[in-house]
Amino acid sequence: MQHFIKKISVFIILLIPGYLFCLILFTAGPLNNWIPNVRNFTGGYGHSLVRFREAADYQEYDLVFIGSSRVYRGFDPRVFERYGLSIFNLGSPAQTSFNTYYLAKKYIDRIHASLFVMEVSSLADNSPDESSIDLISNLPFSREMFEMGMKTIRGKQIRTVNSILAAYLRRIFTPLNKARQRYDPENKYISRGYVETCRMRNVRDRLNMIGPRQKNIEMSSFREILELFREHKKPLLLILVPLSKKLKENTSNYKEFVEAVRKETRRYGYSFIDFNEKWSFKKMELDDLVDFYDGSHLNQKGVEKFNRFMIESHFVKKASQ
Amino acid sequence: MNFISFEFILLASISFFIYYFISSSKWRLYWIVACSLLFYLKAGIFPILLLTAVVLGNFLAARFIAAAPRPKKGFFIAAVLANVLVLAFFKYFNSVSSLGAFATQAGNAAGISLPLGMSFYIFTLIGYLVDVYRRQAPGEQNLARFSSFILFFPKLAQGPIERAGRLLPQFQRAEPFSESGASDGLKQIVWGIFKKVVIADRLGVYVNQVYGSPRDYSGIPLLVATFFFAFQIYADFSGYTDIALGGARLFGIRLSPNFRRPYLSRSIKEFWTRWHISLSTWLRDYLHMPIAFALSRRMPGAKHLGVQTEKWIYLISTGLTFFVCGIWHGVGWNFVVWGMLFGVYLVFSSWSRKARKKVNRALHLRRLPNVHRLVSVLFTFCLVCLAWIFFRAQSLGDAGYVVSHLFSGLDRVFQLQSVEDILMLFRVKVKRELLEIFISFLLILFLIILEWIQERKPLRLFLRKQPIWVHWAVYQVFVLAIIFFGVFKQTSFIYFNF
Repeated sequence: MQHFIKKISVFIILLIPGYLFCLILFTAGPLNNWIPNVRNFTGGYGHSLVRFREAADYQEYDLVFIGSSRVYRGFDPRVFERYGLSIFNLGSPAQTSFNTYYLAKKYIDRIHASLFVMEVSSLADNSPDESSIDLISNLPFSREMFEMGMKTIRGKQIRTVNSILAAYLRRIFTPLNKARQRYDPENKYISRGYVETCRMRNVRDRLNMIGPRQKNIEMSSFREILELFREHKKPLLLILVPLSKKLKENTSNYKEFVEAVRKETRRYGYSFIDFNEKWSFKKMELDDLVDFYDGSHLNQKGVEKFNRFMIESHFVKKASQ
Repeated sequence: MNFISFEFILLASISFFIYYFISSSKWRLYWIVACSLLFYLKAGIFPILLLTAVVLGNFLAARFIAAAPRPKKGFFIAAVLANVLVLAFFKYFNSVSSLGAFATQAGNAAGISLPLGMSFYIFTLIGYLVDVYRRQAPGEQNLARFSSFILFFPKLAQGPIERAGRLLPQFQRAEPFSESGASDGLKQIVWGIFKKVVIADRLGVYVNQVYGSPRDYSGIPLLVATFFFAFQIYADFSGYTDIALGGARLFGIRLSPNFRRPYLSRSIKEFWTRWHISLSTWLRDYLHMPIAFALSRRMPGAKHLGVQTEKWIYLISTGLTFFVCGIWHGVGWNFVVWGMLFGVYLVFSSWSRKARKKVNRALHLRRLPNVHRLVSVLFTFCLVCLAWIFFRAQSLGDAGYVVSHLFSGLDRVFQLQSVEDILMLFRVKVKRELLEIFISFLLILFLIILEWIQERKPLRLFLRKQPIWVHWAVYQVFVLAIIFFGVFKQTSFIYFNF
């Protein structure tokens, strides 16, 4: 039995260099992007690489938006500029409140904003893995990102563990400042973190793919974010961007989710605006088939309508007052 | 408890190490029973109580049958019927359409659902009762040994459906630890996990997408999903069996093999001697043969309605056997059709033997044995795939849709001009999904090549003869493939539902 245990132990020990060798091979070699359980998000289509390079310039903005793809595809700096407002979109694909907390922690004192605006529709989505991999792949090494990576890895999918380790290993072969942003014809990066959706897809098909769903109303990370902003005495506004009617109808606990967010926000003394309320949706004249790219993302036409409405009803008025 | 989980690895490791620290065979049996109950605990308290009651009841019934000087036919039939009724009640109560919504509500309220592995352990118990009744196996006197035979955790959830004559004697002696046995067991476990998470679950991604709403697809996606499913279910079930067999080897127990490269079969008859062997032999020995014998006694004439009696007997016994095989798998009509389809294949192949020989002779296929073999294998595979459509579809209507739309719009294959066209052909959204389909095809090819080589030369024996670094390298590659290519989202085995 002792000999058998020894053999097994040697086999496992030998597996470690084999694993690292494969990780390097799949990370630095031509097989990059071909291995299902090693995801390479460096310079990915969320454009986090260029966004966070730009964010490192420490400029001052009127508004800084934080959230998922609904943020970096939802607030066009060119529209805001027309009203004399400077903005920056700080977000990553599928970003959950867990990721937002670490991102906010990193940038809260580095970016100067008159107002931070946090988008909440994806705050309770289930897995923070995709956003963690994206942020670790595209942001310079920092204590916050390392902490987030470690917490994501703990007890998670092998794919997440591989991808996060690969993201670190990739830095050895290609330092972040030499990494290249991948471009595709569907997405165009606009300075200040915005990604314009260039191509129209069959929205009807995409809407038809939306099945019944439920939002996970788990608020612990959300509370941590609110606590962080309160501690740092930073102004914060919470918003829910317009979602397609189909998505709202299919989310069985949509009302409870909004109520839970409103309650928490009020408890910390911050404001919350839901742009899905009937009157604002009607005023914006948003249509599922015309203004949406899919169930939860506006297309360029929808973004312009929404941004104009948001500025005119909440910022220009206040500025003029 | 799922085999592909940290809990199972922990349970298996602890039970394995403690097992060999126990020297007494009696205490080893107690240990196996305790570990098996712990494994089953995840299913809930009620299933454990039910399992205990069923095991105890059958133990006493078999002892009574064995102790009687003359066969107690009435008591034996009652005992078998009791088992069948327990299985039927838990398997079909929620689904009987005549009871409708009331049954479903009442069933849910009372927590009536099929306990894990029940179809397998009830069939093992029925087989045991028949063997004892026929005096082919002695009635086991030791409850701990009998419980180990039924509950042994590597086989509890999905079989193999073991025979008393093969497994019970293995629990009689306390085998010393065998290093070669244990390392063979571990290798088989690694191979099983590879088949499950790398092959079956990767194929499952596309299969679930298409068969989840088959009416959204036609042509190529339906063909590819059906082809994938044939290999998914094989890799899934045979992967489970390998883990079970390997797990049992760690304890010095040899379970019956359940698969022998079924997709290399040259006929449906041969397929059923290679696919789910423990079930097919069970059905043959305890259902098909008894029905055939009973019919041959009751049908004395040489011909009935102008057809030879032996053909009638084969038709009826095969039809009934595959009907039972179908409903054993599930309640829906699609499972009945799946079973009956195999029955039709077998009856047709038996009745058409002479005609097929004539065709072969006319085509001179005997002169080209390899071509003949290849054609037979491919034809058999296509027939099996047709049956799998009924097995995988969620309803008979869906299965009908799939069959009728399998070949529609195939001309689009010749009009491909861009990657976008290929994405549309397979009905996937992004290139990464297309890459997954491509990897799935490669994995199937890898499996076929391996099976083809294995058919000629046992690879495990070949590897054992190589220097240690060669077979270690091979198994390292398999473990790394699991890490880099495995799908860990859908770890539930398909046959857990049966």
